[in-house]
Amino acid sequence: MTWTGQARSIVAFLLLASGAGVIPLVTDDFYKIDVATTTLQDLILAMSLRVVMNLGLLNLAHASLMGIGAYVSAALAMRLGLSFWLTLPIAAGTAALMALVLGMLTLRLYGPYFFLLTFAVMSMIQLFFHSYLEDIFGGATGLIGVPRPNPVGFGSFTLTLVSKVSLYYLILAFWIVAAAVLFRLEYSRLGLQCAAIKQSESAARAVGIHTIRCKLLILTLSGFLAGVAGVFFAHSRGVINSSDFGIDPMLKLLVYVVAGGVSNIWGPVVGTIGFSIASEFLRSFHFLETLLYGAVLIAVMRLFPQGVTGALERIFAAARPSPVPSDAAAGA
Amino acid sequence: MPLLALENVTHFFGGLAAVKNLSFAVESGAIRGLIGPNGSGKSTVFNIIFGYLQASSGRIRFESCDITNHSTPSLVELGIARTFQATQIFDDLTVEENLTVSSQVVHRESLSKSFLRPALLDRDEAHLRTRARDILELVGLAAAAGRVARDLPYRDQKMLALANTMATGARLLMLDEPMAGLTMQETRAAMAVIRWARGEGATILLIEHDMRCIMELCDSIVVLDHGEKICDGTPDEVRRNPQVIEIYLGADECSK
Amino acid sequence: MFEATLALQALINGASVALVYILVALGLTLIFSIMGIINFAHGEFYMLGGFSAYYLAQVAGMNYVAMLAATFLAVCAFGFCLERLLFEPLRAQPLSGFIASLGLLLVLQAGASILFGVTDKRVNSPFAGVLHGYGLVISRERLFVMMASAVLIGLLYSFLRWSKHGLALRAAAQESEAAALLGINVGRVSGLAFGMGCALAAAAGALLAPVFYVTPTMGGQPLVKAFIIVIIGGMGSLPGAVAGGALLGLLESIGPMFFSAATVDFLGFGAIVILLLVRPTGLVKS
Repeated sequence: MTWTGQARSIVAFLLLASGAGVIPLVTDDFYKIDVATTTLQDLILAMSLRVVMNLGLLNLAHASLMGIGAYVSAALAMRLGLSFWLTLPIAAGTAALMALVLGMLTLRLYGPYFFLLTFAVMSMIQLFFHSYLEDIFGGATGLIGVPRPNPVGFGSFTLTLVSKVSLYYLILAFWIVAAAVLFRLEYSRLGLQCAAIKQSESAARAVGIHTIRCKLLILTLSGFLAGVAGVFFAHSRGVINSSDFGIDPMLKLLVYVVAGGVSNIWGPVVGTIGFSIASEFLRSFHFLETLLYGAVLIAVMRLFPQGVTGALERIFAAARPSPVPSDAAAGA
Repeated sequence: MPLLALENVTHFFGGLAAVKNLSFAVESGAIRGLIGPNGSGKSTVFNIIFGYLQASSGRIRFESCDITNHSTPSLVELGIARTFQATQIFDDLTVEENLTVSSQVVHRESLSKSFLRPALLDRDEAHLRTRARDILELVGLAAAAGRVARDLPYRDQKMLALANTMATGARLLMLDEPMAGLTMQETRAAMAVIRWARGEGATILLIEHDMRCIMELCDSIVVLDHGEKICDGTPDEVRRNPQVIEIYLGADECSK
Repeated sequence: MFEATLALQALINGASVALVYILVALGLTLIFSIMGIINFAHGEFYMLGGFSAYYLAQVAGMNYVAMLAATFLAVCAFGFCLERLLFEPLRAQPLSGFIASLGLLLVLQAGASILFGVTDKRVNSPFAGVLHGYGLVISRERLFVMMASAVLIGLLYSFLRWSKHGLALRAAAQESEAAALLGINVGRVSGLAFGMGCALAAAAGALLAPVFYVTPTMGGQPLVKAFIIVIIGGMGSLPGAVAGGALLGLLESIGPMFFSAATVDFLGFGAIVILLLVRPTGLVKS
C-alpha cells in the first residue's frame, strides 16, 4: 500500500505489458499465440474476480457474468447484425447490471451464504442459456459462427481484426485498460476503503464507510470486466456453448486467484500465468490437471491461505529490520 | 437544545426488555457517563443509538434530526462516532493508514473522486494530515505511524481505536470502556485525550467501569439497572444516591 | 382415474429416489449442524459409495447388505480423518473451509476418473423382479432401496436420540464450549459427525447404484438435490431434511408431468435463491 509499492507495481505492469506486446514478434507459432490470448483473457477474469474476493465475497457466478457478456454480444451481432463496437458495451453493461442486481438482492440480506446463492444463480444462468430462447441463444448447441470484431477505421487506415495476431493485440489492449483500472483502484482512496472493509466491516462502517455501496460498486466493475472478457471470447472463438461458462471454468479461475493470493493485486497474475504454463505440460493428462487444481486449493487453504504472493510478502516482511517502538513503550 | 436525546427508547431481546423506556439527553460540550452493573444495558444503548440494533419503540434525536434506526455510516456522516469494547481497528493497515481511512468522512468526497485521488500523496490534504498527526501525537502514536496496527501492543491498539474515532471529526464521541485493561498511568493519559477532545469541541458519552475515572471526568452521569434509568445527575448526586449504592454494593451492605 | 394411477406410479417411482436423496441431505445437514461447514464435496462421497457397490458387490461378489455396512464404516473412517486433518483447522474461516471442500471435490472426482475410468458401470441388483398391485408396479430393487433408506434413517434417529455418542453429538451441535466443559471430546465428536455424514451419502450412492449407472460424475445431481432439501428444511435441521426431502420428492415426481426437465431444474435453483434470500432458516419450523 505504500508509495514505493505503487511505483514497483507500475514498473512491473509496464514490463509485463511490453513483454506481452513482444510475444507475436518473437514467435510464429499460432498455438503459442492462442495460449497467450487465452492467458490474457483469463487474466482479466482472474483480476476482476480477485477484487471481489478481496472484499470477502466469493462470487461463483463470475464465469456466468462472462457468459452473459458472450451470449448477449454474440446474439446481438448474429440476430440483429450490430457491430462489435456496439455490442461490446451493451453486453458488458448487461453483465455489469446483472452483477449489480445480484449484489443488491444479496448484500443487504446475507453475508455468509453469498457463495451458495451465487452457485444457484450460476446454475440458473447456465440452464437459461442452455434450454431457453433457443432461437436467440442456440439452446444446447450454442451459437456457431459468431462474427469477428468489425474492422475499425482511422481515417484512411483500416484495422481488420480477423487474424490471430490482431485478435491477440486486441485482448492485450483490453487487458492493459482493465489492469490499469484495477491498479488505479488498488492504490486509490477507494482501494484503501476496500482494504478496510475486508479487515473489519464493522470498524469500516464505524468510521463512516458505506460498505454496501462500496461492495456494490466493486461487484459491478468486476461484472463489467468479466463481460468484456466474455465478449472477446465469443467473437474470437466464433463458437460458444453454455458449458463454457459453468462450474468447471469457474473453479479454474478460483484456483488461479486463490493460489496466487487474494490480498495482493499480483496474486491473480502469478496464479494465471503459472497455471497456464503448468497446464501446457498437463495437456494430455486432463484428469491429472483437475486433480492438481483440487490439491492446490486444499494445500493453499490449509498451509498458506494468502497464496504464493502472501507467502512471499511474509518472507520479505520477516527479512525487514524491526520497526521503531511507540512513545509510551519507550517512555515507560 | 441537547446534542443527543433519547426519548422513551425500548428494545426487546426476544421476550425480554433489554432497555425499557429510556430517556436521557446529552448536552453539547459535556462529558457524560453511562454506568451500571454488568447486563444493565449500557452497550445495548450504544448499539441502539448507533444503528446496530433496532429500537422497538421510542425516538433518538441528534440535534433536531431524528436518527432512530439510521444506518451506521450515515450516523458517522452526521457527526457521531463510537469505539467498541472489543477494540476494532484495521489490523493490516499501518497506523497512518488507519487514520487516513477514518478521516475520509470528514473529507466528504464522492466515490468517483475516491477512485481518482491517490491515498497518500495529495497536496490539498495538508491540513487533514496535520490534524491526523496532531491526534497521533496526542495519543502517543506519532513515532509508530508506519507500524502495522496488528503489531502494536494492547494499549496502543486501544489508543489507535480512539484516534480513529476522533479522526472522523465526529462531534459526539461514544466511547465504550476506553480504559478497560489499561494501567493507572495509561488511564490518566486516556483521560487527558478525552479532555482534549472536549476542548476541541466534541461531546463525549462514556461507558466505563472504572468509578474513579467516571467521577473525575464526567460532568454528569446516567445510571442504568436492568435496562432502566435509576439516576441521572452530577457525580456527587450519583455517589450519594441510595439506589445506586444498593445495586453496586448489594442490599445487605446498605442495611449495615 | 387413469390420471390418478399415473400420478401414483410417478410418486412411487419418485419415492425411492427421494428417500435416498433424504439420506444424502441428512448427511449434509448433519455435518452443517455440528461443524457449521458446507461441504461441497458431499456428492463425491455418494459417488464413492456407488463405486464401492460396483467393486465390492458386482466385481467381488460380496453380499449386498454386507457391502453396505462395509461401505458405511470405511467412508465414515475416511471422513473422520478428512475432518481432523483438513476441515477442523479451517473452522474459524468458513469461506476457507468451503474452498477446501471445492478442492476436495476436484480431487475425488479426478481421482475416481483416473483410478476407475469414466465409462458407465452397471451394478446388478440382488433383487430381481417386480411386484404388482392396484394397477401399480414397483421393482423389488426399488422396494429394497426404500426399506433400506428408511432403516438407515431410523438407525440415525435412534443413534442421535439414545446412544451416548449420539447425545454427545447433539450436545456439541448446540453448544460446543459447554460440551467441552462437560468432558465431551469435541474434536472426536466433530470427526464422527463428519464421518457419519459422508457415510450416509456413500450408503445412498451404494443403494442407488443398481438403479442408475455408476460414473465419477454421478455425485453432481444428488449434491444439488441435497442442497435444495437442506435449504428448504433449514440448514442443520434433521427433521427439516426429511420433510424437505419429502416435499422435493413430491414436486419432482409430479413436476415432469407439467414442466420440461430443464424447467424443473431451473425452478429448483430458483427455490434455493428465493429461500436463501427470504427464509434462510428454512420453511420447516424446528
